[in-house]
Amino acid sequence: MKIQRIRVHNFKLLKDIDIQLSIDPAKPLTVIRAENGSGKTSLHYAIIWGLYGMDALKSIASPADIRLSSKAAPSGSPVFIEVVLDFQITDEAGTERYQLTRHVQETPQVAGSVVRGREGVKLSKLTAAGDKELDQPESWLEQWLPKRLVDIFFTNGDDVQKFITGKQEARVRQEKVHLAIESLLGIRQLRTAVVDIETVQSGLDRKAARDAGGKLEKVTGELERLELALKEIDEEYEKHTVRLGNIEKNHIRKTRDLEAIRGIGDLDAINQEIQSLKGDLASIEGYQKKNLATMTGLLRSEALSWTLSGTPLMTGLARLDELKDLRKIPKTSTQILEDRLELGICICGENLDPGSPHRDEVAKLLAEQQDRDAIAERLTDLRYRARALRSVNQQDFAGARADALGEFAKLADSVRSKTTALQAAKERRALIDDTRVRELAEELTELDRKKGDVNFKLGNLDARRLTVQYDCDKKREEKRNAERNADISRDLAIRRDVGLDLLNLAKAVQNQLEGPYVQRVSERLDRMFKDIIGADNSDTTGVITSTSISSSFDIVVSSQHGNSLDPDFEVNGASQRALTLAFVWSLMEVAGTVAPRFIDTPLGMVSGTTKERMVEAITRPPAPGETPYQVVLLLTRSEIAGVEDILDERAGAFSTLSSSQHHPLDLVHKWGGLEPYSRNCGCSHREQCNVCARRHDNDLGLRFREESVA
Amino acid sequence: MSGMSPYASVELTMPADLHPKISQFFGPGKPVARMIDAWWLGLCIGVKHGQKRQRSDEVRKFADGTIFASDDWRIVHLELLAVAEKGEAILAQPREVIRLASSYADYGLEWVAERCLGANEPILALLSAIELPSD
Repeated sequence: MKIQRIRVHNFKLLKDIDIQLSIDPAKPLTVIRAENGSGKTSLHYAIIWGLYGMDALKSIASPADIRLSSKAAPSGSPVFIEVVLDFQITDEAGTERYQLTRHVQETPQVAGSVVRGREGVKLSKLTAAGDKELDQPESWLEQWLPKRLVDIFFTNGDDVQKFITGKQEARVRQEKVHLAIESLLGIRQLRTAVVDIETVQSGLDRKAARDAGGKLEKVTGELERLELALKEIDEEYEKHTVRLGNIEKNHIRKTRDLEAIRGIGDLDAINQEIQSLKGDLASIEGYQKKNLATMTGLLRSEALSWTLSGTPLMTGLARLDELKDLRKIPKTSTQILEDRLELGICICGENLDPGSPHRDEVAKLLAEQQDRDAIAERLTDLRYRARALRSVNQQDFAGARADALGEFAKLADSVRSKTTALQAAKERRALIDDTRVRELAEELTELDRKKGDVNFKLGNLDARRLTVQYDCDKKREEKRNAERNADISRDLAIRRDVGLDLLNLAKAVQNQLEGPYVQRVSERLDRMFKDIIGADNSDTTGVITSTSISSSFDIVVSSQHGNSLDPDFEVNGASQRALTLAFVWSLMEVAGTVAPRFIDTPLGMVSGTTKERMVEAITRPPAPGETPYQVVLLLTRSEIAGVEDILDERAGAFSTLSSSQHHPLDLVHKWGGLEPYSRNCGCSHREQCNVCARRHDNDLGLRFREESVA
Repeated sequence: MSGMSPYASVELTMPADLHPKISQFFGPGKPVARMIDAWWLGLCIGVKHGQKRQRSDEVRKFADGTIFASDDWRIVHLELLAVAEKGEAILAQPREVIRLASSYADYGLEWVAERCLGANEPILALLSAIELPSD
């Protein structure tokens, strides 16, 4: 089924909307361009109301707030609201057209509430010979667009994650996915059929048993009770299996949380690291002290003195050497004079005995020389000592200084790096929430305990099932023997055999749908999702390695090493949208459901090449043999930016919604009256007109066209 | 050298305005334990720069000449410096030897106080700031 035309009258601000949708299989897309506040959501609600009435709207918005007419409508004046939807249904017999009309009258009250009349709904088949009204429009609609799947057919960009987001309780989310799969694949109807056939079969069995007499009747009754017990065991088994799946999923999530905290580092190891770094720093501090002592020693060293004062010191030493060369030092004459006086004979041979005149002269000379020699002696001593110091103190001050400064820099670097490492280790330690680690560990223990309980129950159920199955088989054999000995009418036997065949057939189809068909949806979902996100999805380097539908009907996003990702925290907004759209598309394709897919603002949070690939994937015309479909995208100008070429190629119909309230701030032309309202024009995403033109449309290069303004 | 040092009774002083700054860093319990080491460093720096400071009237004694007994090489250096600059006769006047050295030291101490003692690590600053003959 495809929707061909939508007409809306007086629904919210949609005064008179008339939109043709593309039903061309080669161009499955209809683009409805609308900025925020132009009536996209109202159109979305109008279609849902037109199809299903107030009940469907109540599931979306708070009932107290639901008012179908414009809030600008004057109180006391009745407002006639109508939505008309034209459909086209194509099957082997050909194409037929239908029209669904829903209307109601609302009278606004002074307080803002409304008095709503009774809704009228009419379904007509449109033929060349004239329109033919059909009975039970709801049943007809339920066949083509079941109300319970309204989420699948009509959705908006924000709600689109409802199938995967963890913000919904797992059970609710699984039910949504399960419901969608069951309904679209026909599993639900088949299950009903199986139950119906089983009921009929039981009736036939009871009748046959009654006809055959007391023994068979008794055996049949016993067999029925055993089969019922078997069924109850199976149901209970399934319930526990689902519970086990949820526990395991919870376990994986909590383990991941715990590993994430522990991934920061093991607390003991960090404490050890901190101690080791502190030890290193203390040891470096010791080396630094030694280094400073070396520097201090250098500052007070003789080597420094020689280095800085070398020139004058060497000048002084040279002077002393000069004095020596001049034989002014060392002074030896006093010693000679003393020796001569002691010997009593001068070096010239004169007598120096006491009382001799020559001796007095020598004694006088000796006294004069002794005064001058006190200085000379010091000079001599200074020279010897200076030369001795000079010969032994050739320490390379420059080299020692360079070594000390280099060591200082090296130690300072070590302190810096160790201090940084210490700080980082302390910060890591601060991140480890001990309480949370303990809580998670306790929760995991509790989950392990629950897992043990469930496994124990499953084991018991297995054992019970074996026993009941054995009893059942025995009882069936007993029944067959009883039947052989009984006289059952041929007609009843045939009916019963046919019923059994039908039951087996229905169960086989049901198994086929629940197994291979769901698997096909899963595989297609994975392919399409990867096409859209376009990232590296290899099983060795990709963040997302695969997506699938689990046995508990959850959409699972897998990453490296078989870990699953949390859709809320580990899958970005664009990927969440891609995932849900891929699910809806895959499911409808595998189910072969020809139904419209309305998506309001689907490209929020999506940009660049991902946006291109997403639009490309959800508007691609079906290949031969694939299910035809229809997609209606309600897009803002910013969502359109960057995908114009794809829309050119894929869209078979365009419309633009505008609100009179946007003049003069955004809309260029005034066309509204006193009361605000929205209207549509036929502009494509490449055009602007006297209705929809906005302030920046010329900057976007949109060409102008005339639209008749009524 | 034998007998008592001729410098033993000579007072070692530094300008009173520099003493508080220098004593923050040099002296017992300070990074460099002795004031004599500051004075000697000042002397070396003054000599290296070839600069003296006019001796101030206001000086403060920090030691006497007996301090040289612990590093007697310093007397050799003092006297070599004095001989080089004033001639050998100056050795007969130990106070003049010390006065000459002090005028260099006063300059050097002022340089040390201004350039290095405000640094985070004064020893490092001092050692790094000293210009060697080849610098």
